[in-house]
Amino acid sequence: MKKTLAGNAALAEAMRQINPDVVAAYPITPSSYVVEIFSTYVADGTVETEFVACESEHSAMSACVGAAASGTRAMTATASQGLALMHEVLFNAAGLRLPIVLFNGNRALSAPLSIHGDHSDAMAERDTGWIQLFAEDPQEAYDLAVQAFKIGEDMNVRTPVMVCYDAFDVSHMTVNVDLLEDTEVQKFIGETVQVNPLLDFAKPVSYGTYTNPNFYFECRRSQHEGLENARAKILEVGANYGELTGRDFGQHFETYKLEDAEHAIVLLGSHAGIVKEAIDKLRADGEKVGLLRLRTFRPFPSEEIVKEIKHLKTLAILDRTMPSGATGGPLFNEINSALKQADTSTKTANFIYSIGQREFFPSHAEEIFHAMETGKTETVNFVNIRD
Amino acid sequence: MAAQNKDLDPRKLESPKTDSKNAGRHDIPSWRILPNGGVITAAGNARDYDTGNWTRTTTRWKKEICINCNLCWVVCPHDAIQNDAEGNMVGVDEDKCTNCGLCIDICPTKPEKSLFEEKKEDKKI
Repeated sequence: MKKTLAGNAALAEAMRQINPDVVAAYPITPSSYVVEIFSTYVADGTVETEFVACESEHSAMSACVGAAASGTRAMTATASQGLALMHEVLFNAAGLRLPIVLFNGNRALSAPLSIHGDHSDAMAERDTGWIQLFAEDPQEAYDLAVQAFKIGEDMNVRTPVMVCYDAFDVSHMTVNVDLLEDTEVQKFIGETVQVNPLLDFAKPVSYGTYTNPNFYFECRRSQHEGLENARAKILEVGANYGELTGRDFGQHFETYKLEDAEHAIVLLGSHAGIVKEAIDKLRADGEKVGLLRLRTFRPFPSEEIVKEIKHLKTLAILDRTMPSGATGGPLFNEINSALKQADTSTKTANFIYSIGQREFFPSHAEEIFHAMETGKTETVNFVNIRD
Repeated sequence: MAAQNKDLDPRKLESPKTDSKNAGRHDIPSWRILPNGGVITAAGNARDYDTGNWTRTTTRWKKEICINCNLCWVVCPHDAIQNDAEGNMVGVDEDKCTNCGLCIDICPTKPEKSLFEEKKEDKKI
């Protein structure tokens, strides 16, 4: 069933079809509409969800933690400062192994204040222990939202999932979205399996207790294993989803004309289409260029990525967050590490782009390719900035 | 990628078995079989641990003032209030007592209280 929906509306639709037990949220641009639309479903009684309008995002995530620990499905949506305010609770959700699902509308962080898009918010939370999936468009945001619980609730994963979708470029972009039937979604995600629920009075348990040095390390190691196991689970769920919908999610990324490419760009999120347009133009001129758009950022699929990019002469790694004094952005460091471990000779450089939604056009992607081909690059380069 | 661990399913697990001597020291299972998220699945397992062995002070009990109301037993989070078979107060276990003060606070005997804080005798560690 096709409907013309903005990214936020598509996610609200996914939320309605999932029909979670609890949604606790606080509004923030650009993801407010997810919960605003969803709250009308709650008011109309089309979902059975307990809706908690919180006084802050810290409280919203805390409510989700309590709800999930009680053995229910809990969801929320936020972005930017909201995600930053959730920071410490995100660690708790992951540490307590609670498969909450969060929609994050990737937006810049203050200061200066910006409501526009970049990946600063999600990247700042990359070590919280959450699974992070980046969508390219409203369709993919919807698809990932439907798959999220199936991934996170797996017995070998038990990890919360963050579906990241770019501010405005996805959240407010209205396109035709191919939706599943409500019954298909319910059948796909299945019943939730309660693990040590707080509300099981016959078998009382304690959550969030103190640990000494003799236990803490083991708990964190087990949490890491959950993320490691998610690698395979994401592919398995993606393949099953592909059978159901015809849209393949059997890989952690999408590639475009990469097989025979000599030079390529790797990025996350909504700007893939712009790079593809540049690739088509350069290919027409005989240049062997390609793209890898990464969807799974946590757990980071190093081995799978290296297989796709090890034959390249150069790889431009695009980060949509500031390096903040590091040797390049997070994606640059992840991929460089992966390439180093695989002992490849691919030359890399980091390009920081579209910070605070600065324009990023096909001409900029062409400039990046040419800079890489001629070797006229710094380690970290800034795209379309007034110099 | 690390091997998948089928034993990770926390539903199949009980809390780690410990006795008071070994609690927190030996026989702690591998991370592979600990319940997820450090969740404690055995209710009331405080009695298996010497929860108060790190404190310099403890709570003492004066039998002659005590009215045997058992309110201290109700509030004690560490199972440190000792009762006999008939439910009569018999003392405070200083290895369990963290001297949190909840029992002193709730003790209704006034002005002098049946329960009070006192420095522990120096112990060789």
